[in-house]
Amino acid sequence: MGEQKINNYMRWKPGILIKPENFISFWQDYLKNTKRTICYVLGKGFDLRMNFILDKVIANHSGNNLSCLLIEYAEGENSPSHLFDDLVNTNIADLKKILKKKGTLSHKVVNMWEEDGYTKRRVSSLKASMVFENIEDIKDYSDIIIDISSLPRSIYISLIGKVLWLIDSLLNKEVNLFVVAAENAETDKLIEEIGIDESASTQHPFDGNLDRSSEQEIPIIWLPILGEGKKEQLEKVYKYLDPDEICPILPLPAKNPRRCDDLVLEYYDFLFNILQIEKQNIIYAAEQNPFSVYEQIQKSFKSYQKSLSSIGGCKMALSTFSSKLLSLGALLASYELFIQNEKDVSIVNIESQGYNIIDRKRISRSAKNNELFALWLTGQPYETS
Amino acid sequence: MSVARNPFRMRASERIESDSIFLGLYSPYVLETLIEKQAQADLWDNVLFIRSSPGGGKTSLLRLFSPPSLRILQGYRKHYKDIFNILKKLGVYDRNKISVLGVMFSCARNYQILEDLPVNDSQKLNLFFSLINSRIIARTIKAMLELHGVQFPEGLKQISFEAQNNTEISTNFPNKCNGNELYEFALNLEREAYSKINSFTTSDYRQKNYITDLFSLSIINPSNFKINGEKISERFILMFDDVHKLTKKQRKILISTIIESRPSISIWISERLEALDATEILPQGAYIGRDYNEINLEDYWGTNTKRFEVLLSNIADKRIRNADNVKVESFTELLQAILDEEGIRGKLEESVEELKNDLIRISSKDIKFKDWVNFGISQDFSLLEKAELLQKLEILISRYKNRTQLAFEFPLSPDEIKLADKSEVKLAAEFLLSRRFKLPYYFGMEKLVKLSFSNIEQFLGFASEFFEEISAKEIARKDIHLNAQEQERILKNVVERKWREIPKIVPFGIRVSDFITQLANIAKVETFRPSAPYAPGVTGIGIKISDYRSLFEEEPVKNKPDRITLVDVLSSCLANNLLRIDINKSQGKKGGEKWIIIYLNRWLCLKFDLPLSYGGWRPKKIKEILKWVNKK
Repeated sequence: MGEQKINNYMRWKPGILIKPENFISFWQDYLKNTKRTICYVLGKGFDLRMNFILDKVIANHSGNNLSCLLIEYAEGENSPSHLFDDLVNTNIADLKKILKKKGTLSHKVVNMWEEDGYTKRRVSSLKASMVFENIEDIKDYSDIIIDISSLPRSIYISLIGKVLWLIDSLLNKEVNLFVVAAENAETDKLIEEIGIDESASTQHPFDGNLDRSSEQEIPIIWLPILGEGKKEQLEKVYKYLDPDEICPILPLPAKNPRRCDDLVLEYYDFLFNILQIEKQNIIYAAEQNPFSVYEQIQKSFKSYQKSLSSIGGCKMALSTFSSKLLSLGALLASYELFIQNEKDVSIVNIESQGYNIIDRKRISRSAKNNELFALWLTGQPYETS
Repeated sequence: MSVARNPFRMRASERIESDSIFLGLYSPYVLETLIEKQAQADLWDNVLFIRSSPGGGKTSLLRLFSPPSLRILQGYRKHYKDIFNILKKLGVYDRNKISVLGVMFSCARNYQILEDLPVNDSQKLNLFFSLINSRIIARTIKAMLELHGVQFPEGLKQISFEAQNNTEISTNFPNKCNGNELYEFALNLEREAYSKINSFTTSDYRQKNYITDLFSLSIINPSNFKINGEKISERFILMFDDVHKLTKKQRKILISTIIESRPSISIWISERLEALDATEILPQGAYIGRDYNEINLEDYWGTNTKRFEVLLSNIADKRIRNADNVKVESFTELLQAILDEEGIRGKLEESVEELKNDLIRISSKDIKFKDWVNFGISQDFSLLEKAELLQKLEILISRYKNRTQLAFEFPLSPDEIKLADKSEVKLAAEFLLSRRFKLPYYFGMEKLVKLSFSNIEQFLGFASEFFEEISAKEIARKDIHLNAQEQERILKNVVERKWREIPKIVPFGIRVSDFITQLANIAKVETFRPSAPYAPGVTGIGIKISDYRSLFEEEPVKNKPDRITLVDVLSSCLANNLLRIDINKSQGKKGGEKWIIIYLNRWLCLKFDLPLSYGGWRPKKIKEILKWVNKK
């Protein structure tokens, strides 16, 4: 133990975020180059946002041949999501129409569970990291676009992490990796998680050395990114981690200026009465900018590492209870530290068995409010000539 | 100890920060179960399974034997004299020395994933044993320093290790070395395993130490270690916590390996009572007493409810003394335990009147019951006693009427009431009366203990809600005692909230709710029969063990989706402590078929207005139960 060397480099500072107002024009322009070989990855689901970006933007403006990879996540026979199989079928029929003459469609199944005698164990994040197994799976593409609009968190975090790792460590050639999402707070509120797992788990491989014998005495700093209606999940992750320090991340600035206050009100008892956290521990990050979360996490980790270096540093656990966009910030920070061999950062989440749509009519009406974002993570803008 | 706004919110031992807070809240009564084992010479140098439902106190029990707890107890023995004295009786303290080294480690995390890594079975086993062995060694060495109050890591070199039997573990295993070298060996083993687990690829699988057995069991014993030339302690206990979190395969390998190795130290294996039958994972030929022993904390509390009540009162009292806004010494005293008749006079008068009219109507039609009814009506009892007596008479009359052959057509003597008045009828009368006339039933410490379902965490959940009301009354400068109606109202609100959360937070929640509702409805029909045939009521179902086992046989499960659903629902109910199974109850005479009894958690009994007693269950077949979960 002793003073640790802190690496202050941040590869995504600045990061390229394509915001809703520029989204269509960006892709119109980007896809003019017809020599691109594009792999478009999306999730099979009931979410009305599943085909939205592909339909309205990518396929619409692309003269390129798209190789579309549909990830089917097997939630099991008894998943409550099966109530919405009709919506899934409609989405699939639409997808086939979209791809007609525009590209090819292949499938990969990711098991969310494995049977284990009379119980089941969650395997989704590990299996998601195997969707792209090796360089062979990506070497023919100039661009990989991962659409997370209808992918669950446990899948896209490990999936994107693996693709980044393949691009970073195995390829000599330049691959542009984009992560796109149709964000819609209204739609998110109308989809609720059903059947929360008994225990939290780490997202493979971001395990953060939580149980390493050599690191038992090292304090755990927990950074939960707060979102609405997740008290049960927060409690379970807290129980799993038993952290020494908690720094909740709240969305500020946010589209709804009161959102941050509303979240504090919602979790006041849990945060301030039960956990007795210090108010100065709260971290603020821009609601619609994952790079802001990325930067805040990086800074916090490095600052805690420095202050706690005399006792061996710290372990940091990130949990994402908020929008997909913000959870990408947590992924980028964890990934970068992981690659720098700072393996003391974990992503700890709690999954659910499936989803329920609270109001079908309202959800279809809400589609008009989709906001499209893209994160350009590797390739052209990051070239170091 | 810091003060807390609601001290009942501090839950299981894992969340209680300091060892002194933990010990301050720990009740020694649970240790009596170990005293019993010691009396049978089954406690030490043996394999001991400690089982309970979630929150049943397993981890707390193990934590008590860890060096930090034992050292505090020794240093402040006067402050914790009740716990200290029991541990002394167990031989944990010998004169001024701690003679037990307890090493605790959790199997909850990091192991399941090994089963799904893209490596072969031998490599999986290698990773599994690498992790287990490395943790056993590393944590044992750390525990040695803690026990002797020596600083970590500075004191590692004060430990010396020499394997009595030269163990061929791997080429670089140090058979004779200091603590630091052995500790480093363990860390390297773990580090090597982690580099495979914590990675995006496992394509290059090479291990310097290819471990395929639980070698640490052969080296971890008191004769192999010394600290500054002195013995570490007389006894070692390796305490594996949360073993049910391993995969079925890992659990079987671990337990078989431990039992077959016939360890010379104590090995405690703590796991949840959710397996169908724990014996299925034991190696062939292993039998209880010789190869292993077990403690079921539920059984202990189930047969020692009075002790459990003392334990919970003890915990509650310790917690309430820790509150910053309510200054009282006893939690139990704040809970009204006997109905205040004045407060419910109107309802009692109404119930006596209605029951009286019912009985007069019955006796006018059937002369046999005339003397009984007259006896009941003429008693000079308090309103509540009278209402209970009349309700008892209704039950007894109904039972007589149900008999196919009634003896003679002349009045039954009131003396027969006493003969027929078994305690279960009294309990049934109390319960039926309360539900029929909306009198409080779920109140008082005794009922709260039953509602806790042998689960300390569940008790704290209810107690924390009581505390909120007590606290609010204190602020409003009102009497802080909770009367029966207030207690029942609070408890009803809590269980309604818990019930509404099931579809959302419990896996297969909607089907789980349906299943429980069906079970509870059956229980209600049987419980509310006028003759109260299973007094005081039914709160579970029984399935023949052969029928139950058929549900878990692998092939049929795979081929029958409806059975998969039922297994999912049952597993979810057991993991979330909504149901509890009681295995091996023989019905009828000796040698009769054994049954699995599935009881509702007592909070669900409250939700469905059922009594809180055990023993009342109705037989069911799997094919009937399948219909409950496959309803459209």
